[in-house]
Amino acid sequence: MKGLLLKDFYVSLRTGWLYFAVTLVFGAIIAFGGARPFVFLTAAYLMIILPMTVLAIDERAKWHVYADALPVTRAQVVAEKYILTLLLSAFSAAVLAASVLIAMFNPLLGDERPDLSSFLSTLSCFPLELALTSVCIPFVFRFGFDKGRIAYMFACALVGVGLGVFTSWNVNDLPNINIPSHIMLISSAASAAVFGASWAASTLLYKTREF
Amino acid sequence: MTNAIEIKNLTKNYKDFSLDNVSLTLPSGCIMGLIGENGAGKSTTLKLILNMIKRDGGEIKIMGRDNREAAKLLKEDIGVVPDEIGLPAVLTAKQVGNIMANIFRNWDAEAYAQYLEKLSVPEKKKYSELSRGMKMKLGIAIAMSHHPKLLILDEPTSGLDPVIRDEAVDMFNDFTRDESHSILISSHIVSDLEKLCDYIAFLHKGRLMLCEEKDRLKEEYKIVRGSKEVISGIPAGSVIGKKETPYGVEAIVHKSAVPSGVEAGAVDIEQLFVFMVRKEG
Repeated sequence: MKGLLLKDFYVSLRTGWLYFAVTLVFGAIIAFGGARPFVFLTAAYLMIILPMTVLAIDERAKWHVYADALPVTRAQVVAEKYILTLLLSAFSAAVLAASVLIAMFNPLLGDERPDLSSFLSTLSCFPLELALTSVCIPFVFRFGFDKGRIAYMFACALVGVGLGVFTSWNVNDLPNINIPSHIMLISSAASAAVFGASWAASTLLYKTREF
Repeated sequence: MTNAIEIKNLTKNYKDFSLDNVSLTLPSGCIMGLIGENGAGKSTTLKLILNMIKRDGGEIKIMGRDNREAAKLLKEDIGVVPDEIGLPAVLTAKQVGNIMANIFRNWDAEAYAQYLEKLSVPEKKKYSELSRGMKMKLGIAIAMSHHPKLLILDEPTSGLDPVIRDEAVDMFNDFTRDESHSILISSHIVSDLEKLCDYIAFLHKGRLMLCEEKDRLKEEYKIVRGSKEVISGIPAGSVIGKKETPYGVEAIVHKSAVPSGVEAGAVDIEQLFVFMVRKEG
């Protein structure tokens, strides 16, 4: 498992360094320039793309066939991808949460400083990211990346709709975004359930796949 | 000592191809070459041995254990070189070493570094920048650096230049000096297999045509050249295959059936395979 994670760490850094850099830059924009929903959601979205990119790279290289010849089980191959997704989402959530936290105490932002509930709303982005990626992964494990990306496009469309709805609230800064705590809780629980179900489905589907 | 691989009545059915009742045994300490034309079922057999695909019938034992039980544990003792090493393009050989050190319990970083040096594989070049031969050499280095007891090699010498191919063959030979080490190797380059193998198995259209000790095969079959009349005098059951040329007829026959007075030459494995396949059609 550690070896699989290390492999994806190398691949993510080599192919996705720009995603990490952009996330950090967007974090800085939020912290020092005021939080804009578009910046916020784009930064979160980048970390949804990366696990899918890694899966596509694996498929192109036929890593899944090679991994079958190594002392790792298929369940471990699947588990590693979910842990990677978790780690990448946690990274973007941490960067964004830290940015909003800095913005909360940034005197330069004046009235635009976000409050505590905005900070908590920011954290609700994390389970949402997980849920969106979770929708795609089982399809990729069952049908490969080419067919699986239809689900990926569907998830992207969801993000797009989300972005549209978000911006239609006519808010330009986070201080106005306060998601009620019970909705945050429900959406987090639902996301966790989707993530778990997706993991189980991927394991089951991948075990029966033949290359 | 237990056999390295025991296969009995192995069957796998696809829409347009079937591996049909294949049985073979690779004793420990030996090298077996799997020869067959494209689509004969060599890769399917290797994938079934590694439990990468599910069999429809038969049984496979690796070092005395069913290959589906404790598959992860068994793979600690198996080094595999597939026909395509599935490493992501951005990885370097050095990074691959770090990854494998965390995958194999018995990974030997020192041995890996030595193999890379011996095979002239650059440590810091990206995998995508390596030639096909270099990629294969990296695959061989990975397969041998965790002290496996069994090597399973799918066309490992294809894409290698003759000098490196010879070195690889020497490395495989060295590997089997330890009598607990065995190799199952498939290749189109029959001359490499002839140099290397103790046992030869012929696969043709999913069926095992023959599985025999190489020396016995060479001892048992002879190539006879002569006129049509001479060759037609040999009992049909003893003729493995024949080929007509403008200068006469060439036939591979059982040693016992060589007519007296006719010169019989030593047969090589490639000739034997080609003649048998032609006869089978």
